[in-house]
Amino acid sequence: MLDSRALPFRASNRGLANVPQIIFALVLTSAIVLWSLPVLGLVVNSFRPYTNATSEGWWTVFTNPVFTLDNYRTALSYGEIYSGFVSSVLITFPTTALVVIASAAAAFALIWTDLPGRRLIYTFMIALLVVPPEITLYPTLVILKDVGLVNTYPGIWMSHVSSALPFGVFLLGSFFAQIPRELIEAAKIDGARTHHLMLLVVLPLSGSALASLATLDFLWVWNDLLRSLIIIPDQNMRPLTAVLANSAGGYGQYITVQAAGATLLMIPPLIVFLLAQRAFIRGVIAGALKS
Amino acid sequence: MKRSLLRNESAKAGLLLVAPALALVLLFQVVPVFYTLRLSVAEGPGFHMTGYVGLENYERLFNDSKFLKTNRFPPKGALINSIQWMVVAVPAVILIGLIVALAADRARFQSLIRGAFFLPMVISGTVVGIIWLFVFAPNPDVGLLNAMTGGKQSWLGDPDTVNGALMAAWIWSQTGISVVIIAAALKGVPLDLIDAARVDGASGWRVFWHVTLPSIRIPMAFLVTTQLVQVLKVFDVVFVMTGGGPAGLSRTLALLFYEQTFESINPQYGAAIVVILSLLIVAAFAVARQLSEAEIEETNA
Repeated sequence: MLDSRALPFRASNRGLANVPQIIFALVLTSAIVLWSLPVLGLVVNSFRPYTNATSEGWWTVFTNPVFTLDNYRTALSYGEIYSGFVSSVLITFPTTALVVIASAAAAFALIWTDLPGRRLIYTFMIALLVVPPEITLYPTLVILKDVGLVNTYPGIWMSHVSSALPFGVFLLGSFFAQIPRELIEAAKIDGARTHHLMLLVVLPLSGSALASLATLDFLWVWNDLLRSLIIIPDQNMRPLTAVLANSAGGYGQYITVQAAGATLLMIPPLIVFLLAQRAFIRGVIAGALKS
Repeated sequence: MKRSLLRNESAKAGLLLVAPALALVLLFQVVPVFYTLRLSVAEGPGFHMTGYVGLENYERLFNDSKFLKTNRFPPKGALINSIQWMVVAVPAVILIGLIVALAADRARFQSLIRGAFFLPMVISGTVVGIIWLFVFAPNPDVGLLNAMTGGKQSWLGDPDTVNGALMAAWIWSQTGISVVIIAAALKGVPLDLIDAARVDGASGWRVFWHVTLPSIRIPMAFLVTTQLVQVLKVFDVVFVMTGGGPAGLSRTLALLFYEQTFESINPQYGAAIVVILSLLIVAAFAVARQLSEAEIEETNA
């Protein structure tokens, strides 16, 4: 009798305990391979000379390991991809910072100050979670046009921030509310004013929630395509998602360069995810278990 | 005296802190919702909001073969495509997520599992599209799928396969979220409950159906809702991989909205589409709420 502990994958006690372990191991192994191959294909193609990539398939890399950095050189010297990357950075970092600051300030005000009507405003903010961003996009464009902020970074920042605020207030608000009232009262008795309460008591206790929000928002904004296409019609200011989306489709001359561009676009989310994996997963799960 | 001063200071500070968020949300969320509603009953095309045409834009929409084409069977159009995404892609994401989460619950090599399933969920739809353009490339010296099947099939150019191909790319990208949520939910299933059921002689399947699944239904309801909403909003993958083609057969509601509003410059018509899209999304939320409330009542009873 085979000891199930010797197998690489063992089935859950909580699941189908009578299904043979080997089936779980096979399913899991083949799923891992199936899920990894597409990404591997992209990354390999981004390092393959164009002629190899289009004449023998990326999987021949195992028997014919020819690599080049030319695709990255071309991608970075080819204005659009380089400026798209810079644009993505200039859009994503300020937006993420602003979302965290504005959400933290609002959530604190709605949970721990004496602002009249704060319960009502909090409920209203949470209710906005059901508004899909799509319904706001065209009017946002019209409003930004009226004030001359189309094709500007402040315009897209505001658009992104306003769309992320309801979730930010929800995530931070539900976290702030768990801080014991006695702690806040004690600080007040010690003479803490409102800004002390926020900066010295509530925020230092909320590092993990702030990290979750920052991680999720970074990924949303960095990965956004639709909003960028609409709020930034100017080709030269578009983030990398919009640049690559517009040049995709054909299996043309530049597929290896495009693979390099897509790999570059993939790197920052990958870094953020590796650094903040726990914050990210906690954020996703917080949404799942609380609602 | 001192107390009322504190109250005052706190209220003032609160107002100052909430004001920027409130202003942004009012200007870029609340006003736009009403603007879009008004626009959807205005006269088009062009960028002006003039006149009032009642539900004319909506009537036109239901007679537009791009939106809904019912004169032949099976029906076609963006609405039908979005429904197809809901009934095929969402169950697939959840079923695969459930299988992987069950298999991975106590498996070794957790980092390998994470790497494989979590990477696709943190990259953008644009990258997902480009990755799968390679997989589906008609040239068998580029496309992995044709190399494996030995054909020269144009998966994205053939009306019979295009929607399946797009959904495959989507399912690949969403499985990670499904795994994360279901795996976390499984961790919360009380083992003593399962052991008790086993001692009572319940088989593995019965334990799964009657103990495991009911204990994770609330996170599952959340997952179903968010996936339905995500699928209704599908844009990036379709825009990048097919642009809605061939002959508009892979258009989704979000893509039709984008085309009508920003490419055909017909924002009134686009507004009608996005209002219907939003109603479907709100309906998905409402159904999930009903379901989870009913479940909670049932549990309490």
